[in-house]
Amino acid sequence: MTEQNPDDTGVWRHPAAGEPSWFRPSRRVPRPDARVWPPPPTPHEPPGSSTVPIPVIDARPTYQPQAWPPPAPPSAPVTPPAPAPEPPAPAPESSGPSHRRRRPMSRPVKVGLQFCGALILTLAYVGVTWYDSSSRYEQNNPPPTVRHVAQGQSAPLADATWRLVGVAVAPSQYQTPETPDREMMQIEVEATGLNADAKYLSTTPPGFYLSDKAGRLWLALAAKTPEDLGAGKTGRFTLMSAVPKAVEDQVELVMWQNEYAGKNQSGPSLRFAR
Amino acid sequence: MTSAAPPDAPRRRPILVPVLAVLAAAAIGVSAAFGGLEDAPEPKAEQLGKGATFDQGKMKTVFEDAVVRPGRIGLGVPDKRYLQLILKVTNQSKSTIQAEGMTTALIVVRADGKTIMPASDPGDRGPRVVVIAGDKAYYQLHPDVPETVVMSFELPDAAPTPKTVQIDAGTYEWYESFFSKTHEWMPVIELGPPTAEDRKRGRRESSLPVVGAKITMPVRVEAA
Amino acid sequence: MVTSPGLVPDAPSRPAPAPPRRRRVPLWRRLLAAVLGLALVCGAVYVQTFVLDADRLRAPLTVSGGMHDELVTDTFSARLERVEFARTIRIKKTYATDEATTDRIFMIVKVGATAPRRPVQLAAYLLTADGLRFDPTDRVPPGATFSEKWVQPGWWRSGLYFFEVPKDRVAGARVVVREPQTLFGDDWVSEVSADLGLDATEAGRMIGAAKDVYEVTG
Repeated sequence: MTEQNPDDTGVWRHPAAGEPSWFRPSRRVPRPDARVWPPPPTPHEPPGSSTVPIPVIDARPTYQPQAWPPPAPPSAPVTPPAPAPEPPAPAPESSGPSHRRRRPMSRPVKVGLQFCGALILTLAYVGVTWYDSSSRYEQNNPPPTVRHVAQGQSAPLADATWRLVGVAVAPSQYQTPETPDREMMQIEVEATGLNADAKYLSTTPPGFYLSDKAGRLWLALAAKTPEDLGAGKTGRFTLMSAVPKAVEDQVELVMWQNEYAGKNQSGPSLRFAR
Repeated sequence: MTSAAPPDAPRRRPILVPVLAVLAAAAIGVSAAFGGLEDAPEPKAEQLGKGATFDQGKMKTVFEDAVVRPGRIGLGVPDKRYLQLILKVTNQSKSTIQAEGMTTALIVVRADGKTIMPASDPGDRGPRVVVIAGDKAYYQLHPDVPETVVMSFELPDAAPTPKTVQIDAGTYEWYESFFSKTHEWMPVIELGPPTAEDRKRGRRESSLPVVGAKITMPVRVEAA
Repeated sequence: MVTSPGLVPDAPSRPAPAPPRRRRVPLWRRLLAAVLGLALVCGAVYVQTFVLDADRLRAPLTVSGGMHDELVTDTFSARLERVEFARTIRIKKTYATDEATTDRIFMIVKVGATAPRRPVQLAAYLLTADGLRFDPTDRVPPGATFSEKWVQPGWWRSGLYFFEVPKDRVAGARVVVREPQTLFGDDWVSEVSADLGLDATEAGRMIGAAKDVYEVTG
């Protein structure tokens, strides 16, 4: 409000030339603080200055609004000390939880919390994707399980029960003199069929390998397979394998369900002690 | 507006958006009036004859000859007659492909109007497609190496010798798979309404290979 | 209308401070900022090209080398031992002899390999300088080639691969050896890429010295 025009609040005033206008916004001078509540005390006007025919009211104490919060108890006498609306002190006040001003979190604490949150979320994401991928992989490639079979014992695998008869160096007619670092081994395995499907083992034998202590594998190819293998019937496999001379004493027979499982080393397997 | 315009300035009405809308509507209306919003016409299949070359994307094929002759070593049995399409195929992809791929590249083969590939008889295993080098039959088409490919259709004994053969050749595009974003040569297809076979398999539409060229060749007969 | 004083407070009576003088940013600074911003945006888009596309993300893990280098991968180690050329290949089988002929030239590559842990079979292809891949030729039955032989731990084993190439594609070619692909193609298979080390003159000389007939049993 100005003296010239009480409705003019200063907002719609056209700026002078050279001053910034609406299409070139610039830093506006912030309005100075003005006391809105409690209302400033009314200026005391001389008794005869009013032009409105209202009766003169004797001077008597006008309403003096009290500072907020009201001093307890609320039924206390009406004359409180004059309020002083200063901006609240930064120190936390103990009166009334809803009016306690929160201290802004210090910067290192904020950064530390964000970092921890990011770390936890990253680990969670990596963990969940890892678990998902590995469970899907394990569905397609069943993890290998090895069952150690003691000497002379038999164990079941893929439609038959297997027993190792012997692992020995092959007779000299099978040896290859042109490769002196290798030795041909002959393995005899006895199989007793568990059901009628065992007859397919003659044509598609399980994956036979010779394995040394370190886990290296050598192919053991079936030289002789039993003619027919059925439920309860027993047949003998003769396998030939070339292994390095150095490991010929320690290689043991390892067998997988089929050739494909053997190539990928997945699924159940048997390892026969010599 | 955050401040009032000066009291003596002319009044400016905001008209930009309405004017743009009217212009856009006018442009669309004029295009529609002149037929600009209709579907583009399908590219027509070329009509080619004997000796013509057709670029199929994955390979370039020259349709050299069509012969009816008895079989020989590597190309059938001497007792039977075969309709043989002699093609010169250059593999334009970056790795070795099999000659068998030509049965997919040539979508339909008709002899005198009767479709012989794909065969209507489910027992028919289709033509034998080989690469002829010297006197021997092989199966590989190496990249950027032109080879003679012979496609042999066995003719039933009593059937009359066909006089012309019509071939519908398709094209391939270097297609990016939607899910894995990997690339490979795929035949160009168009989607159509589902056939009974598609509905049985649960598919909502049928895919038909697009014919890039139709080749018509006269058939010559060789006794031996 | 005179409102009750005290409800809408008067602005303080001090004069409004003059707004700070706005310094006009000079034109050259604005242009510089625009150019810099544009350069940064272009750089950001360019950096996106470093992301591998899907074809290369699944590409095999290749160990490269030259002739006679022993190239080691997780599942096998291989080395290129010899390369020769021939115009005809004669395959001696048990009861017959086949001849393979070509209009181009046969390249015979001798590869040696061993495996660290389990037996593997190896397949090869020829990669020419312009990126074309030649599979081993089917004019030679696979029983005579290395692709049907087993490579086992503990010893090195050699075998031959036969390729049929046009004479002008021999220079700069490489031989790539890896395990045979499964039906759907694996990601990140180990492979070995050996440069034959033939430039144009050397290739021309070796092709000129090609044997007429190369004999092999298989």
